Amino acid sequence: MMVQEQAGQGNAAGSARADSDEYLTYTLGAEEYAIDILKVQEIRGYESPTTIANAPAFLKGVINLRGTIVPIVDLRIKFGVGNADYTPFTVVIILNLGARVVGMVVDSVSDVTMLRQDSIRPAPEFSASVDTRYIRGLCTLDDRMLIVVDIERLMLSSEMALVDESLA
Amino acid sequence: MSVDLSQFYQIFFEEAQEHLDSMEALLLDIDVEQPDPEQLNAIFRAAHSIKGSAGTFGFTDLAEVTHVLENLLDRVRKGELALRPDMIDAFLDAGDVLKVLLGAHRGSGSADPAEAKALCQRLATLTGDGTGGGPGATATARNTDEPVPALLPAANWTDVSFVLEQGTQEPDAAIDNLLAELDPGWQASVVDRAASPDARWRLRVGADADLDLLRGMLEFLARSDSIRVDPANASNSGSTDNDSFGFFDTTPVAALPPPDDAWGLFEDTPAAPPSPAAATDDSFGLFIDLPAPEAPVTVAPAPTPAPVERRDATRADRRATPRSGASGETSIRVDVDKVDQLINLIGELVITQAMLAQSASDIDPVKYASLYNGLAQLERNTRDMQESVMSIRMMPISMVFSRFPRVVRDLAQKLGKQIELKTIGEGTELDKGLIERISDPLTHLVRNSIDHGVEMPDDRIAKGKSAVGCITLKAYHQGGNIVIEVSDDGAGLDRARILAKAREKGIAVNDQMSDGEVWQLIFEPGFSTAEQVTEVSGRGVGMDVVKRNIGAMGGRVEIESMKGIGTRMTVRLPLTLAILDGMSVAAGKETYIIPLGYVVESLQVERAMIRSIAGVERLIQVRGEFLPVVALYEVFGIANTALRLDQGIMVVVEADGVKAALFIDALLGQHQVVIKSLESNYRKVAGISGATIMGDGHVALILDVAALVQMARTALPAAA
Repeated sequence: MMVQEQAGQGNAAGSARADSDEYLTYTLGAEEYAIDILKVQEIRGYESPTTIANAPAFLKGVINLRGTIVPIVDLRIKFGVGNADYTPFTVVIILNLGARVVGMVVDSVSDVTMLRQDSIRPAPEFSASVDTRYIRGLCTLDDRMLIVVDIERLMLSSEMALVDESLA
Repeated sequence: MSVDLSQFYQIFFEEAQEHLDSMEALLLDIDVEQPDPEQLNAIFRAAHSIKGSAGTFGFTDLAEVTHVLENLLDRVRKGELALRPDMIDAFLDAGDVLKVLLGAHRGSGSADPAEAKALCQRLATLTGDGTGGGPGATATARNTDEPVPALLPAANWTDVSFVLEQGTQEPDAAIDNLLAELDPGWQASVVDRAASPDARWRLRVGADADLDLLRGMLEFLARSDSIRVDPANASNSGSTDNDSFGFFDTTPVAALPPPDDAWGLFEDTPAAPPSPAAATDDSFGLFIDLPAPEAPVTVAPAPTPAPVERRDATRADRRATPRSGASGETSIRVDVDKVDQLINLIGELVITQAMLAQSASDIDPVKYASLYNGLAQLERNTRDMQESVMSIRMMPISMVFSRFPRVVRDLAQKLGKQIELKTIGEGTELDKGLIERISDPLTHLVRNSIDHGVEMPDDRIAKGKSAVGCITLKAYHQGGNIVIEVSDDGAGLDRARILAKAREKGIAVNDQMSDGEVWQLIFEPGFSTAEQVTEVSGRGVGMDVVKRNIGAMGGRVEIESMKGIGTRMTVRLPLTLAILDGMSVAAGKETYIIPLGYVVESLQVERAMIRSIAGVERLIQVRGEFLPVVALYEVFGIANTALRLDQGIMVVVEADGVKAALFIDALLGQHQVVIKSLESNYRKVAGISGATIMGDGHVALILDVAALVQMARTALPAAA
């Protein structure tokens, strides 16, 4: 199951596109998150990565993605939500962040939704598992609350330690 | 001119660079007393080509310098002036000035117009004052009948017709511009002006014209398939269709294979060439015999001596027209990125193939015989393909060696030494990336040999050696390595002085050190035994950098030296940066790759060999040597299976002259692995230099042995 980067651009016509974007939603434990779908390269099953010495626990290691070495982070461990167990249904979202490719382990991927920009409300200052700096806002969709994450900022932050300090 | 020429600048720069390089090589090779007319012509053509294209692109400063240069060269090659050593110097300097100008246009560095002007002055003086000196005897005789590029002896002018590129504005002005750029000696004139944009233009040029060059220039203006060149006498002037040209297509090639390059010009008329047999029957049969005996003379710019061959091949590239009939070297320019992409894809193909082979090992070979055959064939094809793709990046080391004649000449002159340079094995190929990176360290070694190695002529004679010193550059393959040797027959290294200098620098040394160890001292930072600091060397910067750079390429330097006999420095490099010979080892559940170049030996230790310090087992004694133990499971924090040092395997590694023993669980095998960067998507990891993909598709990390050895020297984590 592959989500093309440009998914849905063709069929979402005209005015609807003007003030709304497409988001991929996924769950971590009981929480539901949304990220900009244009950052998603593909979604694949979890395969055991090669561990990296002295790396933080949430960095599961690196995998071979068709010849490219891609680091895999487990957001469940990073944010301490849900159980970090790996079943045949565990999903890895491969993100394409500019020049970098990173994979993140989530509990499940829900769907792709259109969110109007004005429906995303700023997040109140609260102590969440995810630092509010990386939260663009909250959005209600059919009684569900979505946490809209700025995934690029999160992944390239020094907190994730995915980038050499000098570059971060 | 309305055509946007800037898109061709890059090609021009590359070509001009090549022309300059070949010119320099020829100048250094030429015998001043008895210049080979072919070489003179080749030099002239190089200068001429640069001038032509520089003019077309509007780089007037380049064109001016080359123009003056060309004038002098022209007189020399026509035998009006005798070649003199000071001219060679002036030519070489002109080459340098041109390189600077070229660099300035490319956007790197800036050029000093005064310098160019001074040089022009100097060349002009040489051109002017030589007339009284009388013509060089040998040059004259052989040169007079040289450059007559007309096809047939009868034709003394040539018609060139073409259709201008679609949308060319002000065609008349464009053509006038072109004519202005052309050499006056060509006597170019317009015969037919085209009335409409689609009509043909016809130019007429004299016998001196370089048709190759003209065609090259025209291609920026005209539709390339429309350019026709025909010696006027051989065809009726109005003809634009093929029948009269068919003859020029391939028949001459068939009849006369050796000087085919000259004919390449005529080969790209779109018409299908008549077969040689058919041609002999038609009315033009008359001409077929004619060119053959005359060819060596009349086909002038083409009969190429070996050094020019490559240059002609590149000229063919520029034209990028099909040279169907021409034999010999052809090549195309390809972006390096494209080649790298291809190499990456092949790497993936190899991995995929390995994965398929592994999964197929479980199925019934009888039932799926055809599948098995297919997989076996896939394996063969993949391997062949990998080899050929890797060979694309391979280039001959002559790319590096070719710069040294100049370096040696200049430096020897400056130092007042007489040095002869020998190169052996220029055809040895290595990866393009390495070629670029080896060039500087090698230059340093050569300069070092000239400055410190070879003695002054007087000293040499006093020692009973020939006054002319000899520096030999030699390249060859050995195993999976390329070996480059820089040797001189000079004074050799002075053991006592190096040791004294080392003590002065506070480096721990003793008199019992082996020669090899003593010689390695000169790679220490800030180490120089030169008695006086010269412009060339002696400042103590360099040899350590040389060693570091070569080390960064996965190579190493060795020195052999005998006092009074000479010194030989041997550089060993892996063939390519992309692939590495590695030993795969297991530590816990993980697989790591140790680059084979660092591995000295592997052994199983016995209890008796283990030595403890402060109650911790951290040394082993191997044949009298004490080696620090680096336990991989400790460094990488993994659960290991072999807990005691005598249960696992020790791999003795050496990096930067320091040995250590890596403690691992088991040896798995030896592979060629494709190096992948860990940093492109992640970050640098201590003790890891990269990653690779194993046959089962999993990632294995490549150990950074130098860093691990360093860890052993400094902070050893307390062993369990």
